[in-house]
Amino acid sequence: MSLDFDGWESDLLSRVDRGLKYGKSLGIDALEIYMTNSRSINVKIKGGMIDANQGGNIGVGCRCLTGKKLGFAAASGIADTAVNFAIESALKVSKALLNEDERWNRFVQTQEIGKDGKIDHSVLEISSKEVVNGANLIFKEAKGYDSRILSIEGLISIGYSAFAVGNSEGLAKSSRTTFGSIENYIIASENERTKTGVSEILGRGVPKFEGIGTTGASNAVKLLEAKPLDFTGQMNVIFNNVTAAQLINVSLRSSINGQSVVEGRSAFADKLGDKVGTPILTIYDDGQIPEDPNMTAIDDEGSPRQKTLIIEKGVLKSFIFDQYYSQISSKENTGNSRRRGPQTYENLPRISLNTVSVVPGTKNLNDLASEIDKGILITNNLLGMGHSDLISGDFSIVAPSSFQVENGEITTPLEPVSVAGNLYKAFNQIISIGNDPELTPYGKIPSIAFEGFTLSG
Amino acid sequence: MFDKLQSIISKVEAKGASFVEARYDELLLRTIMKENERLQECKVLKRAGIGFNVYYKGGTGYAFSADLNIKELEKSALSALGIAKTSAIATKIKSEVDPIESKTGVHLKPGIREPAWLIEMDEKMELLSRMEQSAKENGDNITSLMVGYGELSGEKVFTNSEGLEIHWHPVILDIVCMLTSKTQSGDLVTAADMRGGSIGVEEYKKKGSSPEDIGKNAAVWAKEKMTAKQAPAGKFRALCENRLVGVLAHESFGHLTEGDFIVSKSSPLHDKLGKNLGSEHVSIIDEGVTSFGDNVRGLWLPYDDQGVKTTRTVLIEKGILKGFLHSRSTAKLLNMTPTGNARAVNFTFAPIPRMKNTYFAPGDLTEEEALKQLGTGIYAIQSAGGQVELDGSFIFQANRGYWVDNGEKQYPLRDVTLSGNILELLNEVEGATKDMKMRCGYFGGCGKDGQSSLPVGLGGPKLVINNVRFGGVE
Repeated sequence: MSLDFDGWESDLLSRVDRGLKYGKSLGIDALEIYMTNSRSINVKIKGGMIDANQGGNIGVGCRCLTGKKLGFAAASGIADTAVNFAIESALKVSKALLNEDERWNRFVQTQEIGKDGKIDHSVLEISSKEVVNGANLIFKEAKGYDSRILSIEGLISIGYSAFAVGNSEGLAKSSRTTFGSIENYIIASENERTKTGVSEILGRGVPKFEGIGTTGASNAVKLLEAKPLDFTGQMNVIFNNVTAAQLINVSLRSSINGQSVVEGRSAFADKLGDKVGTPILTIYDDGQIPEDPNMTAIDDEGSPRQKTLIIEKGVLKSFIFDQYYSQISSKENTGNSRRRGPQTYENLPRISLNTVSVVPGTKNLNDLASEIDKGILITNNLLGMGHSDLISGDFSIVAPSSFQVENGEITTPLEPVSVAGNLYKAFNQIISIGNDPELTPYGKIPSIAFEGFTLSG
Repeated sequence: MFDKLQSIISKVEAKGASFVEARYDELLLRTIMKENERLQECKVLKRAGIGFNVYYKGGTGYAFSADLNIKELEKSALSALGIAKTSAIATKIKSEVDPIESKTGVHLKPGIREPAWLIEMDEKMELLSRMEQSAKENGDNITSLMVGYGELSGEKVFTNSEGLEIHWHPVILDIVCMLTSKTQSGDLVTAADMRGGSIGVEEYKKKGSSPEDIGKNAAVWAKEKMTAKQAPAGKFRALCENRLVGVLAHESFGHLTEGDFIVSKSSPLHDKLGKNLGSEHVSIIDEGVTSFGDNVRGLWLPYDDQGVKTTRTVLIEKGILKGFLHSRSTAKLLNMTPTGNARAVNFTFAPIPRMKNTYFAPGDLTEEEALKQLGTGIYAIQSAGGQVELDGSFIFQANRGYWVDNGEKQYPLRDVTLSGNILELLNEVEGATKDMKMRCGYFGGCGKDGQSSLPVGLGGPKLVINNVRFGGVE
């Protein structure tokens, strides 16, 4: 795509510097400027249709403090006019506010940084043509796997981005990353019955196009033999590495978030130092996993990204914080500030999980199953996890891709099973943790076996 | 802008493009969020850029630029042509367009009286303070109170190889109140209310839509949930309230009618046109400009992002599948008429088939009659959304509800989960009420293909449905 990527960080830093000087000339009390530039190729597979696009998200976001009143404004583009618009608008907003937020202290000051991840040059060099051909290969592979494969929906996204943050405390830092991901939903159909198989890859380089179509297709075809569970009541449940990641991620999203803790929405607010899970459970929030596109030297307001111990042997050790909430609660800033994408500059930084990792056990998936007399194994994907009640922790999901576990063996594929439980009690229901963590958008988490969720199917 | 875009279109055509679409979006967004009466976020956002969609021998390519310099724009349009040329070789399904009537000089503004972008910041903040005050007065044991204000305005310009020239001004305004209360046993319960759409500030002066009303509703509903029971699990008869019905119309059914899923055969509806999919009480419409009167306003969407005038698209009429939602290219592939459903959330995305205002058509029952018809079962109310699969299976969370016995509400329920397959569910619809509600907002919206979140309208009457699977505790 482009080879001028090496110059982006210094370009952004010099534009941030010019913006800060302009802000000073307007008499702004405290100013922070975030600027980003990115390029990506995105190719969608929709049945036999291929949709491709190429472009860059480029823009600026400014936080401005007048006294203790915070204004934010953003604009697409990083030309001086766009930067000046954002600075002037943020100033105007902050002046128009009536109430001070006495909890405001200062923008990030520390000069420390974390480690940058590796820049994978395959991403810089790939052409849109090669990505389109990759998409075509996935399509052909999946279609060729079995005559019952009806359709393929997929998205390939490959690109690179850089960002810089500077503020009137003297901070001027930048970081960059490369990324490549594929996700496929492959649909198999037989006798008016359709089933979806999911396959995905996430990393910092150009993903391998071979094999992923076959994986998704075989996941879908297996499910065509699904039978109803014909059971309502409590059973043991194994979540494989993909679905366990979703469950653990959602359970931590609010409970360990410093904002939820301070504002009264966290179920773990008063549990620091308490036992919240079984002794085999150790969880990190990790912004420094080398193969992870989320590995950057700094977070989105300039604090170092780091690895934070959240739960150690079942005991809650830490919450995650950004600058604002770490100052309010006099805790360490854990480098968890993130601006939601793809237009990151449009969003205020908020506390967000980095990549959640669970320390693996020693057993593989079959070993986990061998400990269960009667239960189910959930694979591939979950429906409704994101709509769990993060305050009470109650969840009720549908597992469209699950298998019966009988006398220690993984057996028949099942029609969709609904699974209900409580996210925060689940940490205490863990029987066993697998040895197979894999990086997904939800974390790097192994398969996990739980005791007694309510099933219906 | 129009002339600049036309000159680039000519250049790309000269290099072989068979058709070029160019779109300029300039959107101004203002957001205010408060939590526990503290300001969390107050922001102004300008989002301006141009996207080019280029067709070449059945392939398409899209490229965009936030840099409006003519050289950058040309580079961007030519890179779209490059992608189109590669796609032309790989694609199994050709993307082309049929000619449509070419309008010029279209300039449209929404019919609102008090545009939000003309009122001062302190008036916007006051709307939120009034909502907070009312929530506090009516709530009990509140641990968290969140309020939000969102406003979108701007201009969209569209032109293409046919010389089309459309300018229109989108508008969205929304206020929302969410609160959490703590029960005696220490559990946390939440409730929310909101009012939004393509409306002016005058909407908030109406009875039932004032910030006081919205704050009070959220507080009273949370208070009610403090003593609510868990919903039972299993299959029950259900009365689904208007907003939940809107989510069913959009999420679980509407997506299955989107032309791209029909063309790719990913949707189970791809071969069912003219077939009976539901009971006679089921009619589902997707419409760009709704006409239910001033009290039921959704999204105002006169043109889509390919410059096609939006239509009233009947998807299901009395149970029979009648139509799909199209872009120009999916319409051509299926030999149907474009419906004005090609939409993109901003200039960084190519327009794809998305919904407009999607709703179940109202019936003739009153709420009382509907409860009587329900008999014994669950009255499920409101929804923050849900998740669906392309095979029609869905799962939704209703925020609250009631257990109903013999047509009488017995006691409140906490969040209830509904799941099933929409194609089975539509056959179980036994009746619809005559009251109609639409929801459209700045907060929330549709997130198809990572294009989040696009303002859409959704709604309907209340529906009596048999055999609905509820999650929860057995």
